Amino acid sequence: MITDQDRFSYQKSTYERPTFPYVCGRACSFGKPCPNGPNFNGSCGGTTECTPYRNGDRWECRRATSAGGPCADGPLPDGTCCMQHPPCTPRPSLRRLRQRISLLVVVFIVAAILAFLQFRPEAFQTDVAQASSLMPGPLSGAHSNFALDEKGCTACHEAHGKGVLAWAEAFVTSQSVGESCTSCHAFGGPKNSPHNATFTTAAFKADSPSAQMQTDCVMCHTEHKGEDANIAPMKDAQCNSCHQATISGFSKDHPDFGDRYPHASRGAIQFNHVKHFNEHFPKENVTRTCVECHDTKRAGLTVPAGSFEQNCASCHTDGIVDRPFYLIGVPFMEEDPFDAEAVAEVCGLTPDQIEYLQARADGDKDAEAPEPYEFFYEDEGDNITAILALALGVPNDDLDAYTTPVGELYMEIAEGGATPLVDRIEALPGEPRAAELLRGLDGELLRRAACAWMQKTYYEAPSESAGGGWTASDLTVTYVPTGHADPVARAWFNYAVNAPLAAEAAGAGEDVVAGAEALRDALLADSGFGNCTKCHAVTEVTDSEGASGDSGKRLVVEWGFQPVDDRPYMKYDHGPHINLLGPGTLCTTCHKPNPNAEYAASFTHFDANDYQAGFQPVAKQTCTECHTRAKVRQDCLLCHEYHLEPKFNESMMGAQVHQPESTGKDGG
Amino acid sequence: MRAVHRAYLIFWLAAGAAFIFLVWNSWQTWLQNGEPAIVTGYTLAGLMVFLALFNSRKKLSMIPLGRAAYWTAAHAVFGTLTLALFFVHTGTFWPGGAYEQLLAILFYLVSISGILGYWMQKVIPRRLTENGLEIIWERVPNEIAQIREQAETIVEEAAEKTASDTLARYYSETLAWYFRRPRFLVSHFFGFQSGRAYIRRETTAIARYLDDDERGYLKQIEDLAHIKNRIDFAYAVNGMAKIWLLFHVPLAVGVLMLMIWHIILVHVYLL
Repeated sequence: MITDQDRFSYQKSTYERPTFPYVCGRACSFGKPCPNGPNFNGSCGGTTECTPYRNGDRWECRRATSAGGPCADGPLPDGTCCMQHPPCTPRPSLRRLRQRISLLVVVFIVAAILAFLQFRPEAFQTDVAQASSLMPGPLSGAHSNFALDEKGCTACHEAHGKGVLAWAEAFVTSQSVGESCTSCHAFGGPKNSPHNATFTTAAFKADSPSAQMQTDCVMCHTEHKGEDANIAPMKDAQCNSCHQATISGFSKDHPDFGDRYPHASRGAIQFNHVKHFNEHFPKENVTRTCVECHDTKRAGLTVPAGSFEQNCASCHTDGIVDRPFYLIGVPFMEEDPFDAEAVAEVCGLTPDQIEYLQARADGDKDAEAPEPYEFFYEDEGDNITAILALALGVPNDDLDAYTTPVGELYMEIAEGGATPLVDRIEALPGEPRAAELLRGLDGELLRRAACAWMQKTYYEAPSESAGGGWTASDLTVTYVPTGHADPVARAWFNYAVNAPLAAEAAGAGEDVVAGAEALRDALLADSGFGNCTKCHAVTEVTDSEGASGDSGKRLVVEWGFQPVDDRPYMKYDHGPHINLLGPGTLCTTCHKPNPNAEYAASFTHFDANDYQAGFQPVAKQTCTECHTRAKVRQDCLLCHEYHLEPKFNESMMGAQVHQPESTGKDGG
Repeated sequence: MRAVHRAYLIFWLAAGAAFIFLVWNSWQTWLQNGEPAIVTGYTLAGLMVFLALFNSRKKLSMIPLGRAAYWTAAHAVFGTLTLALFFVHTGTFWPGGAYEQLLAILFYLVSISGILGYWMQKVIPRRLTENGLEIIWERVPNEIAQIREQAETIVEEAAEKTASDTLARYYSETLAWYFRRPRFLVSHFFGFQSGRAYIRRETTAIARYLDDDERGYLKQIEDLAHIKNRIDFAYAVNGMAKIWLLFHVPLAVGVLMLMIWHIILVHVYLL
């Protein structure tokens, strides 16, 4: 018993087997356990007190001393123990029970994994999808409909549903989940480089990932974190790990914005705020505010101004229609290059001659035959127009050079209308689209004007022209802009600004190049066609399809208002700031006019970066009044974009259009 | 300082250093747009396998793999490291997908049961020592049977020599219930004295009806009852330490199974 100090003596104590899988059934019910205990196979080992031993021809009792030693009766004659007991039902030990439960858990988990192992896309199209043994979590809201597509999970995970071998291969090979992102998402630069741009190593810390580092979407964007999860969390520390300038806080050590902030290059439209507010608006005796032109309802990165018709037309329309384009006119010539008989044959009688003959037919014998205006070209002629000089390939002020070609052209016009002129324009270097340049030009009008001038008479228009368009006057054929955004005017500017570069690229002669420059300069002059470039900037851009070929440079007329995009990684929203300051009242808190700036001079050349803004630069201190520690957010991503020009591929739009009717949360 | 305490100190220092390194490494990896979960994940997997080896170590007692006390210390310390690293790895208390939620649930249950086990491992030996009775848990039924036999022998002797069946009837109607098997286990586990109070109450109740001779026999039975009471205590607290493993080990096996599935999916679908 427990009180016996010698109870573990071999003569008193049985041997305990704690690793045995079964325990005595009697012990389990707290009866007296037998000394033998259960057998290893779970059967009762205590049906007899001992297993007799045969010694020669006698059976000897082998009951253990701890159980009382050899019994008095001894074994039966057949060698069995004389002390028989009914068997107990041994029970599993705790160890065996633990093994069984563990095995049960294994079976349950494997069964659960297999039971919820779904590969078909349909299986992921319901809320039950989250129960899948493959689904590590719900997709974000923007991607939650991916499973609706016929590709399902394979849209991102190639090995999905392709069998055990594909899984085995995928297990030991690298996956390219990030590659599938760019089937929908596109950027303004290389998809696998930091910021989608190519940087020099000087921009990086020595111990940072180098400029040659290849990025992958899944480095930052991790999916399956829930419908509302931010799948692109980024901290300032990540920015600091690469950028040389370590910023611990915007208000603390962010560099100043510089003296050209927010824009280092000019905009598409020249609008001198200082001059308008200081000179022009006061003449109207009304007080103008910023929001009369800028639409705060559309405020974002910019607060876009209204249209020309809304903001500018009342003052600037006359300046457009008063500046026609001169196509051809009476040339200054010292010699008449025209054969009178040929002209008469082609053009017929002049109005004066018809009037004379009519008078004579009416019996007026005193009627005098009209005399030709002998010095018509000397008195009324002028240098040929820039486009005519370019089309003929002669200097516009060299009458020896242009007299004969002009004579031939006018004769051809008299015979064929506009066609000869169209042919010569089409033959010019560059991309002169005569159909656009001469849109609406009536060949008969051109022919009649040419005939009149070849017969040394003024052209008499049958009626007064109105509303703009092609028109002929006494001595010229001109195009009068119909108003703002005139398509013919645009076509002439688009062609003319690049004509010199195109002529050089085509190897044209000096006269042609000079003629192209003359045409361009004539259009860009203050009194040029429609006065377009008074407001619209002409900017040199570089691309692979430049008019000059090798250099890739070309000039573009910036017809539409475009936000200045010289800081592609910057983002800013005017909206909340306007609401905070009060619409139209405190714009000058940030945008302070600079009357000393050479703003207009910035538009007299083609370099957009050679620019002086009409406003003083926005200072960092303006922002840190609010964006500072313990006040308003000041982390990097508040004002900076990581990606360059993020957008969607067109293929994605197609996929959206062909998306099947949804049963998903957002797909309906 | 005892060797085990020194082992604890070394393990804690190693685990702390490992944790700091892993957190620092994760931070640096994340800063450089890498995937810190790869390192933390495989470290977690390694730790879980190591923790599971503790169970094997107990089965391989014949092989000199270090003292069990060291293994226990390592199991407790690195189990704590595993719990901390789990949050570094997942970054959340509650993942999204069903199978990951099941993995998290099992992991938390294993961790909680592990903490409970560590508490019992610290408390139970001291309480057993205070009990003053050293007994092998598997022999408790045998000991109780012997005590019961002895108590019944005393009762029979009392009836025979005092010619009174008062004590015998009271034993068969009341005290036999107590001697039949371990009693008041919950009370014993939480350190209450329900068993002792029961013995005092029952022996006091019958004593007034007994003569001096019978009281002598009752005193012997009462002494046996107090011995059984201490056996019951040992059975309760020691048994809890064994039954606890019925939860901890199967749950740990479940975590290992889901961990393997998780690794397979991560490699097939992501890495």
